[in-house]
Amino acid sequence: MDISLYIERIEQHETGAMNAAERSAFEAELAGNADLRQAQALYIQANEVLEQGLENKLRHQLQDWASETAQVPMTATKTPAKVVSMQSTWMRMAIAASVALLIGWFGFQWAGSQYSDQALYSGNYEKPNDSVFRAGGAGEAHPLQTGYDAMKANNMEAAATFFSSVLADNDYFAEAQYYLGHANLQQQKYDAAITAFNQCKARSSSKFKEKAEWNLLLAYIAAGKTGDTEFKTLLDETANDPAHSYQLKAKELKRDLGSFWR
Amino acid sequence: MQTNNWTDTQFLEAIAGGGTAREAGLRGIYSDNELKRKVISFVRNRQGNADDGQDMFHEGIIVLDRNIREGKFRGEAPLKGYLYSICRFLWMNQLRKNAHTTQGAEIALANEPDEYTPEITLIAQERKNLLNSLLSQLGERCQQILELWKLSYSMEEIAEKLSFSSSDMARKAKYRCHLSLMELVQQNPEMQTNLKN
Repeated sequence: MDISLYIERIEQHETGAMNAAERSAFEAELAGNADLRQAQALYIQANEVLEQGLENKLRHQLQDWASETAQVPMTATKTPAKVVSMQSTWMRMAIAASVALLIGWFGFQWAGSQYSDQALYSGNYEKPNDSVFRAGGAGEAHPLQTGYDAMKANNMEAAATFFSSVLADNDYFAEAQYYLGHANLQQQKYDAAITAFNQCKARSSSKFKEKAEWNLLLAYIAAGKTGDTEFKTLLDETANDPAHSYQLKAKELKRDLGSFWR
Repeated sequence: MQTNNWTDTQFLEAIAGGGTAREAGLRGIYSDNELKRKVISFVRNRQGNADDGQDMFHEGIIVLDRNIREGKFRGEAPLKGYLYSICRFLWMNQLRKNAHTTQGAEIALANEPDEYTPEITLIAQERKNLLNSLLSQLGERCQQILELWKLSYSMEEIAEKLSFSSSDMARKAKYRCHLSLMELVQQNPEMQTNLKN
């Protein structure tokens, strides 16, 4: 069978290009011509092959469009709600982390502040009570009364001037060095306070010796000299001396100075 | 080309007309997310998943395209309702193929409201493989010419797209390619068996 003899007419018939007369004539011939019928069947099958090709191509095209659509949310503004939700979650987590960090930081700072030199000094220091000042004999003022009065009046400069005029090596007036130490401490003259308490400590008067030692430790702390060997030695001795009036306080101070928060 | 406000008639004319208008029309139908969701929902409610639903939507558009081009659908029913019916039919047919779901699928289909009855040519996978094999033997150039011709491109357009010197040269090339394809079909024993059956 020679297909080329029929192909054009079959195509005209199949595509509806024939008029009514031509179509009738073709269909009449089709009934009596086996070759034409076979050629027409081949034409229809070839058409199936071509349709298969178009189908494949359109399927690929649809898959491309589907891929484009799937990529849109990443590059454009589709499904913003989910993105916003994630941003919101991250924002909340970031805020929570920031708050936790701030709390931690302030907590650390606060805890550290409770163990600073200044805090330990302020927490332990006690200004001498007015009642402890010795009174003079009957009808007479005490020799150190001027200093006492200045301290009572909270005039630490005048008190220091007066007490410093008392000879430092006078055992009888060892307390003058003790109060000089306090007057200097309250004026934040820490080195002068250390010197005064040391001089008091060196005196034999036990009544003021232990108090002077304790305030000497506080003066070192206030002066930021907790690394000094003299300070460490005195602290250890005081903390390890069961007979010392300030042993318990010295132990607490030693513990606080070794705290993690410092 | 904006297709948002196209009527059914415009879609039909674009697809039947071929060329870039066909592609725009198909893209417009594809972009109907509401219809796509409806198809996916139908499939998901009947033993399928979202991917199955999307596949059915694609296959439905392929059938719709062919039915419009071959004049089997001329807008007798709303276009998108017709496409939805095609998709439903395709999925129920898919379910029928699964032996364990045969009974369920038939019951499900019987319970479906009968909106439209789309004419669908379902080709078995073996036959599809055979058609693809013949197509590949045809050669790239002939495939291009015959594809454009099938999509109703004029000989002038084919000449321009495929760089023929004239529409006559394009027509002659198309004739030779078509003849070659029919001869390939004739020479293929499996196709001949199919033809006799």
